Amino acid sequence: MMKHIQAAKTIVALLIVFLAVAMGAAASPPARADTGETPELAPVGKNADEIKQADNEKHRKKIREENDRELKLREPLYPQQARSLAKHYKETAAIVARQGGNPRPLLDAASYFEKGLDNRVSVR
Amino acid sequence: MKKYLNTKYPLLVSLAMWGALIVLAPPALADNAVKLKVLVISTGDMAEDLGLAYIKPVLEEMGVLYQVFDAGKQDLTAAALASTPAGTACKAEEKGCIGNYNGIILTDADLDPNFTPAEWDILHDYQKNFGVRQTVLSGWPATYSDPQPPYGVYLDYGLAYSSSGNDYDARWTIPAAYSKEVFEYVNRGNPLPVTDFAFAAIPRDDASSLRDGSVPKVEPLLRTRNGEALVSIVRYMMPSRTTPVREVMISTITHAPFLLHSKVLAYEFVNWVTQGVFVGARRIYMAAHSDDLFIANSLWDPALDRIDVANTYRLKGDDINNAVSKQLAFRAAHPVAGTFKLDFAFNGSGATIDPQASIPAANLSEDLVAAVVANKAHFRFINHTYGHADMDKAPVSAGAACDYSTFTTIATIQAEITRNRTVWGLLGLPEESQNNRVLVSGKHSGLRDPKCTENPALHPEMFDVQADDVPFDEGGANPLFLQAAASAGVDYLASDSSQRAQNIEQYITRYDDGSQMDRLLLPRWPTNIFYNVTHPLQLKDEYNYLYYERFVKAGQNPCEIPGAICSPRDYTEILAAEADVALRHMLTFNKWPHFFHQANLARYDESGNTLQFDWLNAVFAEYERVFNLPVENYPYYQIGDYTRESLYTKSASIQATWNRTTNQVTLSADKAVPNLLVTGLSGGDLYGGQFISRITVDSSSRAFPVDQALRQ
Repeated sequence: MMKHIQAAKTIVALLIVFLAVAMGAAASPPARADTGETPELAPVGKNADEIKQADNEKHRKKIREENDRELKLREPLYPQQARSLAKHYKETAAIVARQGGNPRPLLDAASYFEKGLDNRVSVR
Repeated sequence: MKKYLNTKYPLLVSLAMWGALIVLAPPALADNAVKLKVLVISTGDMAEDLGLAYIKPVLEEMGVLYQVFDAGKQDLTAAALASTPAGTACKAEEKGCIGNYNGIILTDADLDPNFTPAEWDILHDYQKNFGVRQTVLSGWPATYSDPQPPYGVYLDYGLAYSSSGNDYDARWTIPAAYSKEVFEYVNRGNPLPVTDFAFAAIPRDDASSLRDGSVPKVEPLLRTRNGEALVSIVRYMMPSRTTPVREVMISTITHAPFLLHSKVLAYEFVNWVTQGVFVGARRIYMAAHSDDLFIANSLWDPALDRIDVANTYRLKGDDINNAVSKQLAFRAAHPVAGTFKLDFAFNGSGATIDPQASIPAANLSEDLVAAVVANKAHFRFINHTYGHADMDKAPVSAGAACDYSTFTTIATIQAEITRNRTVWGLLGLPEESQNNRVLVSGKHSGLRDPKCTENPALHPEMFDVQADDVPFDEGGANPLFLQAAASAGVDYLASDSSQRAQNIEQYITRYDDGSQMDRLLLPRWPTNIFYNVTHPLQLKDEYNYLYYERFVKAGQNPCEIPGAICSPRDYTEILAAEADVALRHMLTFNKWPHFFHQANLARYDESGNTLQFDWLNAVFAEYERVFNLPVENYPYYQIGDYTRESLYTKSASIQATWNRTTNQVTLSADKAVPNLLVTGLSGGDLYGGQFISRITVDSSSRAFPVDQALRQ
């Protein structure tokens, strides 16, 4: 009887872990970028200090992004540099395609720099 | 017989001599020498190539000798990399052949479409032949095959693309073998946020070789959370050798001058590629100037959304005593700050019994004056003129309305400078003679022409009272002020780096100040800890008014205004934003101080907190998250001296060659340079695990032993 209870407990524990992992995976952002915000299973007993630290890091990140945006806006040469980069990545995409590789990441890079020009002054 | 012997003997002697020479002479190998100069290969000029715009200011600030090669405009030749005096290409094995560069920086990983396979081969051959490293700042981790003879793979970083994005929390994974060589200065315990576009890649770790037979072996130094490489060292190995034939450091992260991750990585891109031996150096600096000591500042009124001239604050003795404690606590909390001292730019009129008296008499028993004198050893002082008078040009029409009083003679301006020196002596403040060379004018006046419109309250029709100012580079400076400064023996003038053309260390050559030697402009960084606030609530109110509310009140969307903020910030957020900006300033490696005002040193709560030290603590906490280097804190006159030396050095033509056999660097210059900074020589000051030397060079060549401090 004890053996059965032990087995059942094990099965239940495994199910719980499986469900938690599945839910975590479903909630994860697409695996294209390491956003730093990939959900993790909160360790049991996560204390107030750790939560505060995570909050501070979120704040810091928000400020950093805002400063990045502001400083980028102040760079008079940035639009031309971004256009050059976009053009360059498109040329590289063509070379990669000719050599039998996948040009998609390079076209995405070109698109990133072109979009950045369109969004130079946008709602923040 | 004799004839025969006479004929044979000289021949035998000659043969013996030649034999001896062959035995004693070193092998007929190369000089094994390269010039200490970095070659930057770009895809265009500064307007086109973001990587060039990023790395060039770093090289300039460090004083590194470099040359830019625009791959879009010219073809790379072997002779450009190493040539005989006659200009023909040569190899390291040839006697007298010296490599022209001891490091190569590529602003982009594949330089396409302009860099051909043949040019890549020339570049790689030079690297292999002279043992010169290459750094790649950014780009696609390419593997390219030549569709033309001789075919084969000519470019391969040993990496396979994995992901891309603009938001990585990167981890340091520096192998133990490199721990004393690369990124010694970063805080490896903390992740490095990468906030612009990057390709992340996986080391292939296969046996695929380039067409020269070398196989790339990748060692990631900085990885994503998922283990993908963002910055790596690639060693190209041949089967027959245990040491690499070529080495590359590759970053696949986008870099720009304003990005924090770029500033963190910049030094190592230069240091590693030169193997830690280069003309130039870098340190980290922080100085904080508290202006207007001894006089009062008007305060911001949150109810009025403007300054209330009837409400002022002047520091008290308790504030000074508190500042001493806070400074000691700051040093204890941040050992990298060393023996940091606050600099007070003071106005002596506020320390005298009668400011109008023709001969000043110090008011030594007054609360604030007594506290400053008692604690003078804890601080440094700078001349901020006697009465904080305005040094700007007088209006063109005498008697025309003007927001401020102006001087019309050199003598009256000069008196503002010299009377303050008198007070310096009366108070017994330290280092008076050294500081006679430095001046901070009130509000940096005298360097631009506000056209008499300075007070926003007096000009409600003007959204920005600075809109009509004549800047420094368009004749806005007051020649009378410059002549007075020159007559008073002032060499260095402070400028506000946020003002047009005042953000460059430069001799003021545009204006005739009547002397042989021009004044030197020393920029200072402003902050958003405004001059008219003493506590966080006040600062928060004014900050949000200036950057958010006034736009809303004017019917504008602040989210669409450059420089405005999209939502109001609390004090913590303001400090975080300011600390982030100040950190980026520090990581430019320049010596510019940040300036504040005496009101910011007011003790605003029972714990003795002040806006000034809140800022310093926030900045250093932010700094220590990324760097571990000591922060230098120089007096302003010394910043002036070093700036002068740096400008003088840049005007010289320096020749530097590293002989890797004797492990010595030979230096000379076209004129005497008394204090040339060189990194990697034996006997220098140890900073960040490397030796920095100050060397006197002139037209005579002198050799110095190399020490890369790889065990420091």
